[in-house]
Amino acid sequence: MSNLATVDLNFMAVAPLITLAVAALLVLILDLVLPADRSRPWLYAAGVGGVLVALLYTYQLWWGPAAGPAASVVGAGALGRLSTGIAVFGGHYVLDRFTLIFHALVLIAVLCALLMSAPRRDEEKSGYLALLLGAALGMGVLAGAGSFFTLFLGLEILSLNLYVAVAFERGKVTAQEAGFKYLILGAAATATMVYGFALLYGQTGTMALSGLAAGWHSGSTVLMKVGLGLVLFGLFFKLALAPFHFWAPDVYQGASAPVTAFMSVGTKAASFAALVRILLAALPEEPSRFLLPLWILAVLSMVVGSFSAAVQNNVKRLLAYSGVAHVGYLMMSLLGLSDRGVTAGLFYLGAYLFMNIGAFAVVAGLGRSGRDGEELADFTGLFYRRPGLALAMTLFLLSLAGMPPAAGFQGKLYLVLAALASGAGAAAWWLVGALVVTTGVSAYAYLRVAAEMFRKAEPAAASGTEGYREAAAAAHGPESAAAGAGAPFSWALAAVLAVAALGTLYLGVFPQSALALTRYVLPLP
Amino acid sequence: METTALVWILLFPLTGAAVLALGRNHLSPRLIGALGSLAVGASFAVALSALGAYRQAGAPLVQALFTWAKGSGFQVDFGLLGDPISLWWLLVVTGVGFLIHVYASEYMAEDPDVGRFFAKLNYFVFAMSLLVLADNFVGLLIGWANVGLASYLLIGFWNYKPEAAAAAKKAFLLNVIGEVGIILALVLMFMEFRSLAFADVFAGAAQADAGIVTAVGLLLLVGATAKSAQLPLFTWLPDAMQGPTPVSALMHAATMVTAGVYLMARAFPIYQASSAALAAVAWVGGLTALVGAVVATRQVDIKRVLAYSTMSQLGYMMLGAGVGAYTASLFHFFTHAFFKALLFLGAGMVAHYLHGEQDIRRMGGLGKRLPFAYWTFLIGVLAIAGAPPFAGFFSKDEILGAVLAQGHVALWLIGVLVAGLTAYYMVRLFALVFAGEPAEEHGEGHESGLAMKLPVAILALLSTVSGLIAIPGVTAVPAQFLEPAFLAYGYHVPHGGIGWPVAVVLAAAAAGALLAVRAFGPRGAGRQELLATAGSPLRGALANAFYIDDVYQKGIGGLVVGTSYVVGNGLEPHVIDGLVNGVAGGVRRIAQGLGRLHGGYVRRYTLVLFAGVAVFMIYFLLI
Repeated sequence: MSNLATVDLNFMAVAPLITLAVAALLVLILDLVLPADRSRPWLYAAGVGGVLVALLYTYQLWWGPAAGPAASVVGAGALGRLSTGIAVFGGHYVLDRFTLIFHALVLIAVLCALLMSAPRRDEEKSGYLALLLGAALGMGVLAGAGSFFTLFLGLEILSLNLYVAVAFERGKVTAQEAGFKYLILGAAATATMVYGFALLYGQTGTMALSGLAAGWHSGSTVLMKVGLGLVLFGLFFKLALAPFHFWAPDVYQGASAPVTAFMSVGTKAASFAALVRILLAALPEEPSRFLLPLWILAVLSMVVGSFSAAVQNNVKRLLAYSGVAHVGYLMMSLLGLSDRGVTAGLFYLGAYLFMNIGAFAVVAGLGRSGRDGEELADFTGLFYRRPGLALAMTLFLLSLAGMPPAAGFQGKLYLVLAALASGAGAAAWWLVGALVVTTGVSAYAYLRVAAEMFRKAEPAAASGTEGYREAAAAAHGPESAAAGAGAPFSWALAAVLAVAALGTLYLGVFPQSALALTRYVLPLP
Repeated sequence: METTALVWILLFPLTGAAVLALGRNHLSPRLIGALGSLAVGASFAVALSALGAYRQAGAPLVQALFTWAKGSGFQVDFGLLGDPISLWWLLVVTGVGFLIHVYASEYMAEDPDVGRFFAKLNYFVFAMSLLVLADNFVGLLIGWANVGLASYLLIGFWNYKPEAAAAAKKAFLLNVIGEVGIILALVLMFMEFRSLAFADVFAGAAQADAGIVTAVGLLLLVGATAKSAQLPLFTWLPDAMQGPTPVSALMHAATMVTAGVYLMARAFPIYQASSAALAAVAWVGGLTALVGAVVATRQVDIKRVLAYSTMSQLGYMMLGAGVGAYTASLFHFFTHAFFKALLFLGAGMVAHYLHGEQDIRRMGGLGKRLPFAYWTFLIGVLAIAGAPPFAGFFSKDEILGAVLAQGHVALWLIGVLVAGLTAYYMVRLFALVFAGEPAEEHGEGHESGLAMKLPVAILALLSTVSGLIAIPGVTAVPAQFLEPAFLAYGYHVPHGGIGWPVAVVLAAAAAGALLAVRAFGPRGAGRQELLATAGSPLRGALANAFYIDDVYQKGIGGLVVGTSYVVGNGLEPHVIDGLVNGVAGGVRRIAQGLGRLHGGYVRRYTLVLFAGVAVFMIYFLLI
């Protein structure tokens, strides 16, 4: 760390993040200035425009400073392996292609979320948009964190924004409840993490990630182990790795589909980036015993996620559990911490981005009057009402289940190949075995929804006195058919669906092109 | 030589298919026909220029497209290969394809679904071009499966006809059997050669394990028998005539069904490395030629006669490939494409005139009313019967000459017999349709227009003269053009001699033709006998193709139904269902157990959270 006076305040390096902050402010200001009945399009234009400009900056930085020589990289050691870029703000922020690829993922996710929310008629649009942009900003900071300060900063920016965004729908009790739960559990996780920072600082005397590895060489390493463990658990919570996943189903169900789509992908991506950076920087020389808990949690996540998904009747809850399982798969990429593994992880995140956002976009597209089309009953006979939507959903479900030719299949294939080549021995075989078994189980979960869409809806029973469930089904059975057929068609939502479907197919059929992109990030062996 | 042009051969028909599929309800029938024909015509033009480029460069054209997949120790690149074999096929596929598109633009103009028809037909040209252009077995298989789908879609084009739908299903199912064979062959191939690119596989074929090479060869042959309607998987082809006549002409006569022959020629290093697989090809071909020709003598539907004839002629091609005489086999493919397309289009003109009538017992005497169809059909008959100097004479004799030169006397005798039978059933067909007096009064049909006549005229011209490019001792265009593809892997293609064997074949054909004229001429006894049965289906083993289809339907179908009954009523509810339910129940119980932890109470969540942290902290303290 250096004094503030000598810190290199390279604002260009964080241009995408600044753009997001400006866009969020602009949205709030426009809301003040413009008359309420005509402000909607302008607010969205400001939000979407801000994200596009941020993407442009990301692209520019990718070929600019991020591609520069590795001379000015933070410290030496393990972190140097990632970075061809530069460290700025006194090493608190790292601008390299690893950071930027996560920026791209997060920005695409938030762009899709903005477009998905365009047709929704909520009040106080400006606050909602600013919250999404703010959360994206936090994720961007987290992905580029070079020290615990920025790590904490990023994590809190994204969490605080999301707590509110989750609970944003006023008058919807589940949303309020979800936001509250998320806040309490998130606070507990953050506390754990900050405690870990403190212990690590006690051991190493530095807040920079690059100084962490030195902690293994100074006397007792108890503080190091426990501190690192606590920090990792904070991230595991954000990743919704079992058994720290309990918040996910409630929150995913309570929040509106665009928010869920965004947070499921964005939070996972940014936390994965931080996890990789910490592990690369701080792992002991003999990491196998230290990482054992991670493999146990990964297998647990796969099992819990896929089995629980199989019995859900709410598609958003199903996707939440599916996310738990997918994070378990994603953790496989960290076996041996090889370039190849992390590349496979990046690819998997890319695949997850498209297929997951696509699935949530369908849920949003089926929604009406402030409610998402999230119940399994909403999908009954969808193919006969809206074949395009049903076919797109089928593609996303097949991809989530890991079937060719969709992206999810290639993603799993690369994870398995990387795991087997990682030289991690028994751990790799356990994880691959768990992946194969749970993929089978989750196929049941996903294909249940798919089958529902191709089942012809039976005429709803008129009398509904045999219990709550039947009554509810009868109550919105005919309505759902009518509303589904006549739901307003939104170009913004259609665009999201098209991008997600094309992305899912493209990554599945031409995986090599995306892998070539990740090769800029990590030198492949 | 690197090129960028080959991919356009694929892109034109693919674009055409997409445009027509989207615009099928918005464009006029005339425009649809024009666009469909134009797309294939453009493809043909590119294929011609590729031919020019090949001749100029003197080396095969290659175009690398992309790397399909890459893993540890394997890589599947996707590229296109324009070598003599693929160019040979492309010219026929796009050239004959173009003529038939033009023909169909009038033939199908009245159909309300003409847009859907041309979209599918363009899609077929795309799939077939992909099949022959791919430079690896994966691409070939993709093309292979796509032509299968195109065939399914077009046989069942009139999907309101139950027979058409059933025929489409049958064709698809039998072809899937073939595809499974090819996929298994690919797996073996990959295990042995660690690659699926033609170049790697063929370069290593001679040194590979003999057992595996034989297995690969036999499995590929399974694929070829399904696609090229060879024994024992031929039963779909006669039924496939339920599709519109241009489809029968293009796919089920001239191009698609020859994919099996293409596979045999393309994978020739495999067969040259395994004499057993090669002999199997020869015998499958020879016996199919015989069975097809024998059955064709007792058919009464004009298109079914031609279908069995196609099966028989494909048998000739397989026979040629099976004795290693690839250039002769490919030459016969070339001439057959012209005269068989000509015969089908002629049959289409007849049926067009008679408002869809296809039973030859109800025709007769059409020569006077349809002089154009009469003369062009006659050329087709002469060509297929092997009358000099028409095209079939030269190509058939090249195959039979090579068979004899390779010492396969039994197969040669079968070939001669088939030549006689071919002349017999074709003259019988011609006599029943065009000669004599009309069997029934059909009223005034309308004769075909220019868009139908012009392609037929061109095909008639080609059927007349295309044999002249290979007059023994004078010209040898196919051999010279195709030879480099085989020499590239060190194989010298054998050729047959000329002399007395040709005279024997000619004598057999002449005898067959004379017998047919005697029996089915205007006052022949066989004609009267046959006309007396009009209105009812023919009985007997020949008319029903030795009941092979019934054996499949009743035998295999019965076996399947019987097994299904046992499985469905015994095994399934008690054993499998129990297992599945057990597993599902287990999943459900585990999930419900997990659900109990999900009570929805934040305090319980927090408890689990910190308990988890505590457990792992203890672990960290211990290590």
